[in-house]
Amino acid sequence: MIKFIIRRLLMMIPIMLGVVLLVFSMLYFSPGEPARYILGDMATEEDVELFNEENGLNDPFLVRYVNYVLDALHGDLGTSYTTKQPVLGEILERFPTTFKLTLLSTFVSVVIGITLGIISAVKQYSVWDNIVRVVAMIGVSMPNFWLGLLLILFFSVNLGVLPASGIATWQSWILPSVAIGCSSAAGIMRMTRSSMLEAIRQDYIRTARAKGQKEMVIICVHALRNAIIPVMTLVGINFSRMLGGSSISEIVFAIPGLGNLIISAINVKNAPLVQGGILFIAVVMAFCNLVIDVLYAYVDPRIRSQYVKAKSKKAVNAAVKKEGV
Amino acid sequence: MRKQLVLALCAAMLLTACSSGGGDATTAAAGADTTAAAGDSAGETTGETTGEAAPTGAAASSTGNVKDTIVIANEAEPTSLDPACGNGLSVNLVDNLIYDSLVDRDQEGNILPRLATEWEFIDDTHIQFKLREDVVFSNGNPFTASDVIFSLNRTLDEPTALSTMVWYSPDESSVVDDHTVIVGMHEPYAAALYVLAGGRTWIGDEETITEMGADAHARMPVGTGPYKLTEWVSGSSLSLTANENYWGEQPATPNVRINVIAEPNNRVIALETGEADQALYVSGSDIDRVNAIDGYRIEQGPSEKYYLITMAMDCEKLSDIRVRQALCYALDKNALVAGSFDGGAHVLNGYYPSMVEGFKDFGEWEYDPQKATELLNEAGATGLELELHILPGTEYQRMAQIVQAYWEAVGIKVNIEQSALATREAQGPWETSIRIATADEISNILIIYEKEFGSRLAPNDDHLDSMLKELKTIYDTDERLALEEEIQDYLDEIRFSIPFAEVDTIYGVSDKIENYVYDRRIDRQNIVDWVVYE
Amino acid sequence: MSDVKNKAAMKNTDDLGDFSISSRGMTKDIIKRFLRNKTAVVGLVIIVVLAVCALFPAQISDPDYQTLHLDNAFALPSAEHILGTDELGRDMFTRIIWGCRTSLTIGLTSVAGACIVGVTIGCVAGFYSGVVDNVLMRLIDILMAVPNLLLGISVVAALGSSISNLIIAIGLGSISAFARVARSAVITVRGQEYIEAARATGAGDIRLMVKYVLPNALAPIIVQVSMGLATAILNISGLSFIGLGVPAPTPEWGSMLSTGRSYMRDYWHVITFPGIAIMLTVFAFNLFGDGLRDALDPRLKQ
Repeated sequence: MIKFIIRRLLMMIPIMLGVVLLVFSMLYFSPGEPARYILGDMATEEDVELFNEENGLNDPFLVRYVNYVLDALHGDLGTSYTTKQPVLGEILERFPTTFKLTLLSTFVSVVIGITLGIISAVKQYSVWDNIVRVVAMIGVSMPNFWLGLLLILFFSVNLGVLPASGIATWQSWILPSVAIGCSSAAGIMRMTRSSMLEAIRQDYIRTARAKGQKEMVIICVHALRNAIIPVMTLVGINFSRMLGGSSISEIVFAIPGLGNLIISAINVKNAPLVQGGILFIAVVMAFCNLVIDVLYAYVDPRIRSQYVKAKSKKAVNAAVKKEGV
Repeated sequence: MRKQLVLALCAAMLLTACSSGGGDATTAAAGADTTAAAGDSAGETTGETTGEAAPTGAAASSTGNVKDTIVIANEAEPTSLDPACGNGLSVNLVDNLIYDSLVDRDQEGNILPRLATEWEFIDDTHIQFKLREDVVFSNGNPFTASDVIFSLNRTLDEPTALSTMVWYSPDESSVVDDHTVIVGMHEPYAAALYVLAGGRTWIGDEETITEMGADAHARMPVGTGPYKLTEWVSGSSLSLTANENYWGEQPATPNVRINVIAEPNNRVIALETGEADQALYVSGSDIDRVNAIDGYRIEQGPSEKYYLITMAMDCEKLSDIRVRQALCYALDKNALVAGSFDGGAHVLNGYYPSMVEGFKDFGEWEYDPQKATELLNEAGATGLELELHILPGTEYQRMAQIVQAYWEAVGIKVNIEQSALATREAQGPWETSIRIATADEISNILIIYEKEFGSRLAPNDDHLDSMLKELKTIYDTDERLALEEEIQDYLDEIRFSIPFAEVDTIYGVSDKIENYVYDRRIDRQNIVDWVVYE
Repeated sequence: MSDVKNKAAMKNTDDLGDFSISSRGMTKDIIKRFLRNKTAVVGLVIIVVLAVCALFPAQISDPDYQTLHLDNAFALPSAEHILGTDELGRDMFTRIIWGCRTSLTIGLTSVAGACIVGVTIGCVAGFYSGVVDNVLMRLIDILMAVPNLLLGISVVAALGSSISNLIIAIGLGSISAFARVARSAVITVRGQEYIEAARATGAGDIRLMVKYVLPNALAPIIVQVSMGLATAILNISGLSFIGLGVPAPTPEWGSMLSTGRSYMRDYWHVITFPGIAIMLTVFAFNLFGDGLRDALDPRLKQ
């Protein structure tokens, strides 16, 4: 297991170098000078020159890239153009908010997804099943920023019961986590449904039924316990994806998270912050995926045997990643 | 089987542990903050009679309890609180509370004492300032003349301040004694005092900045102002508390919190829920709504911001004056303003905002598409195709589409290009563009037409440039007014720009603020005097 | 952003290659199976309607989608304007129909581009395996390590917002999905006998790939196109929503939402209908993709 973890960690290095190169060159070769935006219209040519000199923007590409990577290894992701603060500090300041939001959204998606998934599986082909499945499909199809707007319109503006923005109170977290959680819930619901269906058909469920156990117990204890593993993997994958994917919702709800920070940095071409932010998210996501894989292998004794691990985990992963992360 | 549950639990615990770790830090800090603040306020202010009319005429319909914190909803957080980086209203809003400048300026433009008690022009290029002697920084360090020189010199290393400070000469400036300082200029500069009263020359503490390092100081600044920064939650809020070492009268309310709420809608919601006492940058479409909220009202007035359409002077297609005139005649300014701002701006019939010195009103705008078509035909510019550049944002899109519709009505094809400033610059000056500009004193009112300034208008008119240069050197008001009129007439003649709207400052304000005085300058409100009732 | 990705996960397929069609005679079966799936047919019907809207917007709605009627801004839905008017008095129905053309054009072009690039990479990687595979797939890993939306945002922010840049931005993010699908499909097909047989007849690598391997790996790729379109449309609207999408006055759903957001408190219709349009489109492609997958993989239907 340790060998596996180390190998995965080593594999992360070239990928992260590539991520930096990708973002770095995109910002490097794009037309436009960060100096102009940051200094504003009032700036003269000399101002721009001074700024470029100060920020090392006059060096050749490769020099800048290598310097960046070397600094990054020491935990120095550069200095934000706009605030003059260390990028890593800015990121770490915002990250807990995004993390908390992701956690809450995951919670929402798990509660809704698993509940509906069980209902749908138990009542397979019933009206309920069909309704739940269509709702789930709609959930997947809805842009979550739009759902966010509708939630604000209804709960904040019309009913006036929940705050529309910010993170000042605990109530502020409700709408954003629901908006973000809903689309993941749909996936979880579908996964729960299919793996529950499979579990219900197993022999031991039949045995349990024969023993006269209550249906409720059978479903919630015996079946769910076996069906939960692929669901949990999906939850984990969703978690890491939401970390980087909830940026627009962060903007809709004015949540001072990492996504919000990166998008506003992109708008002003604050290259160090954009590079640092994306790299940070990539690293965190990679770690999350690693943790998921490790947990996954650990959770299910069946999976520890090489064969199953290779096969079914890959199926979930491949299927999930199929549409791109 | 059990293992799974245990593991799921462990994972859950790990995750919560991480998150609460992050969360706790902020909550704890915030908690400490409120408790610290709660104590010292109550006393004097609570005594005041309930229901007494505030100077603004709004009744303070209160129970008599005074809040210890003023909450202001602003659209953005400061980029930096370095005293030399006063770039933008969101920065200066805070800077004005935590720092002082040498002199101050009131709404009418009169220069008032602040850290300097008196000043005189020794000659055309030297001003001598007498400084207050009782001033210490919020950390207890004394304020002296060397702090002034130190702070002014720093602005020359700060790219965002440099162009405003071109007149300042460190070599000509000197410390006379601890409380006397001479500020020197390269050449006579009429706007010098305005600049010193403006947002780029806040005075910081030499000792502290050197000790902490400028970057760390920019995040936890030390100044001589009425408040000091206690907490800055990135992207969310800034908390200020009264500076007990302040040289002037202690602020009436001990704490100020500035909440960062980017979306105008949400700032209004913050008023509705009572979360904020004042919302800045209320949009025109929300005026009625705010007035309808019980206990809140709109305070509105003209500001120093205005929108204009610029035409690149070096653009071949626009080199014929008749084409430029046609563009003017083709545009219904009144409809453009009415259709873009929902009542948040007024038509501007001059070349800078009406409240600025020397403003000349050119009278009702002439909208005459017929004439526009004729002029275009005369100039042989039929089938003209123009690019119209805008910055990102809903309001820009709205303006651009209206302009486009009017110009296309006289047969000009308009391509709207939208990009952030940074990308635009490298792609060359745009043929036409819509932009917002600021004009409040001589140093900046006509800066966009200066050659050095360059962007978008690509100015290349020598006559105009020499007039603009001269303007800044004239100390005599009448002389200056005469030149200002000449310049505006000239601008109207050459028609390289179409200023169309002066933007209003619009606040949503709680009726429970006592001593509220409307100030169009968002960053210069009399927050120190405010008393807010529950 | 979107969670369409989960869809595949619910089916406990062992590998993606199982979709492959091994003989043309099966096509009929597939169509039959697809038609039996009611939801999938619904998806197909919506897609057809959308396609018609995108092809003939002028016939369905007003050919003039951009003349302003400033005196009639924010009209609520009525007989004259069934979906109301926007902030500049333009008919919302007309703009939504024309917006369909914008979204579908960008979506299709970017997915097509991503499909070509991704499938090529995936095929080469899967076909040669070893070092080539490793290098190519690590490149794909790099693309995958950056969240799609952030990747798109930085591309548009770097290049400026225009339709072609938007296509690049959306396309770049979709490449990895195609590459992975193609690779695993190719890997399953690669070892099969008829490939060996073809190789024995002296077919070159490229010919082998194009003529024998690819057609048999086509099914999952087609499914991915449908799913990819759904994701692309969501991402387009997301980018437009934050102002990095299609420049005005081209009608686009995401930017309609973004403009409408400022006025949603007074006029509910400005954010409701464009959102429904996005949702319906994504919904249709998801349903269709789902149905197609089921139809192509008979073993899933017990």
